[in-house]
Amino acid sequence: MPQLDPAVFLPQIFWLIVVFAALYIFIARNAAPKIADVLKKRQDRIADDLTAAEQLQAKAEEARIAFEKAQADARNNAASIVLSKRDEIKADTEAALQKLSEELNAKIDEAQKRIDEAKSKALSDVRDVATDVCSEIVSQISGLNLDKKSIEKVVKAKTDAAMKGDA
Amino acid sequence: MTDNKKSSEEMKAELDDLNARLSAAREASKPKVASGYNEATTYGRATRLVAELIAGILVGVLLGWYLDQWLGTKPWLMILLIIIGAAAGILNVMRAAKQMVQGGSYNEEGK
Amino acid sequence: MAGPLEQFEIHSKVPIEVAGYDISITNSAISLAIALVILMVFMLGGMRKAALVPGRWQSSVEMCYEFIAKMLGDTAGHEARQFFPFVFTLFMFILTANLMGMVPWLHLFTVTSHIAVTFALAFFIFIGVTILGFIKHGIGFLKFFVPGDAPLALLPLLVIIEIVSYLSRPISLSVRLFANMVAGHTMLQVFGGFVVSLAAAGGIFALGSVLPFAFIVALTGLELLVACLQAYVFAVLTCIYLNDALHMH
Repeated sequence: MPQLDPAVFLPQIFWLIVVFAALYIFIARNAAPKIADVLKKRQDRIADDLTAAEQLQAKAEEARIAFEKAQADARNNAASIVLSKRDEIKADTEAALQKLSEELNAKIDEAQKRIDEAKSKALSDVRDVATDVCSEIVSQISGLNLDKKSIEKVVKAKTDAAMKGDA
Repeated sequence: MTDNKKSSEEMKAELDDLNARLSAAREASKPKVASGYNEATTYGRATRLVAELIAGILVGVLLGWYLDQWLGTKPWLMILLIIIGAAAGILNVMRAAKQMVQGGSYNEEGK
Repeated sequence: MAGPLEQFEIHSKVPIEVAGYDISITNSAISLAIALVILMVFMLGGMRKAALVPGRWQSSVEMCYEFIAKMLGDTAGHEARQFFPFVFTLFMFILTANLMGMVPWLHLFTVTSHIAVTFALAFFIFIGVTILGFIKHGIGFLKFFVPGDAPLALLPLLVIIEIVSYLSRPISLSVRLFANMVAGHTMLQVFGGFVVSLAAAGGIFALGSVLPFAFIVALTGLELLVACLQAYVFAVLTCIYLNDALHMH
């Protein structure tokens, strides 16, 4: 094994020390601080960016919540408006219906009254005619000249009975 | 109204997505704390253990040989020191194995 | 075909002798110098822009840095931070030296396949760590060799075992790296020799060279892994020894 020849130890170790020392000085003075610097800068930058992003994200979240709240408010508002309008319209309609039915009732009453008047007038006309016809018939058949008043009484009684029977 | 609702849901999904990505980024930017030695492969562990054992015996041989030369006690000290060296080698192997199980040998005590 | 061990021979290129000591520039010294140049180019080239968003080259430099920084922190704690440049240099140096010998056709000399080099590194670490232990803990560092819960009768023996165990550190550190490099490179050389001689024989033997060639490909992959792993193990153990000196576990 050529590695175990003591003659080659010294030159190897000498140059190893020289090269390793040079490399150590280079890395300790130059390379390592440079790399550390870049890594530190990047870490700081990432941390800053992340903080900024998180703040923006929180703002976005706030905005979203505000938007949703506004939306919900609007929806509730709309619902309450619809409800109150519906009640109003219902009340109006009921009032109008009430009024209409009252008017109709009044008209019906009036009409009834007129009908009744017409009826009683017609009835009294019928009675007059009946009284006249009766006295005429009686005088012609029997020659009796009956008192108009008593005939009227009888006719009235008869017609009333007939009306009742009719009714 | 349905249109509005949909966009709000989309917004929420987008925000949630952003949220997840942000926390992932935050996690990734943290310095990792993990074990040290146990990442080495089986081969690395094996060579380490074998070398520990052989080195112990080797030190016993060398030390014994020089002491025998010096004190003229050939070969007794060498025999004794080979045994001691083997014991030291086994001790080293046990310690190395313990370190491998624990991961890094340094623990942040009291911190 | 050269013997498998010939690649480890040292040839003096420029003989230099100072005060009776031989410090000739050898193929080993040239290889060391190439490693130095490679590492300087690698780092300076990677960090020449020092960009916030790194390119591929810069990323690989940073990856090496962070890998060692994390490993040092995990293994030896915050106090060991001051030794980072040393551990980083050590890792990068061994890694480069290990990988340099793997480049085909160039036949660069692998300095870590010499016990003199690996032992010099390990011995320097051993001495440095021991001095650090005494600076940090004074004479109390000797307690490191006294096991805590041992019966008094066995104590002298256990102390001797502990001391031998401590002395074996540079040996295990250097022998492992050396043995791995020698074994891997020798195997590659042997199988490479097979391939060449079988292919040269021609005919049916040329077909036979396919199998060793496939084996060489697999072996080269394994050797790449071993080269990285051994550099890592060397660095990790340095950190563990640093931790022992700093915290006396």
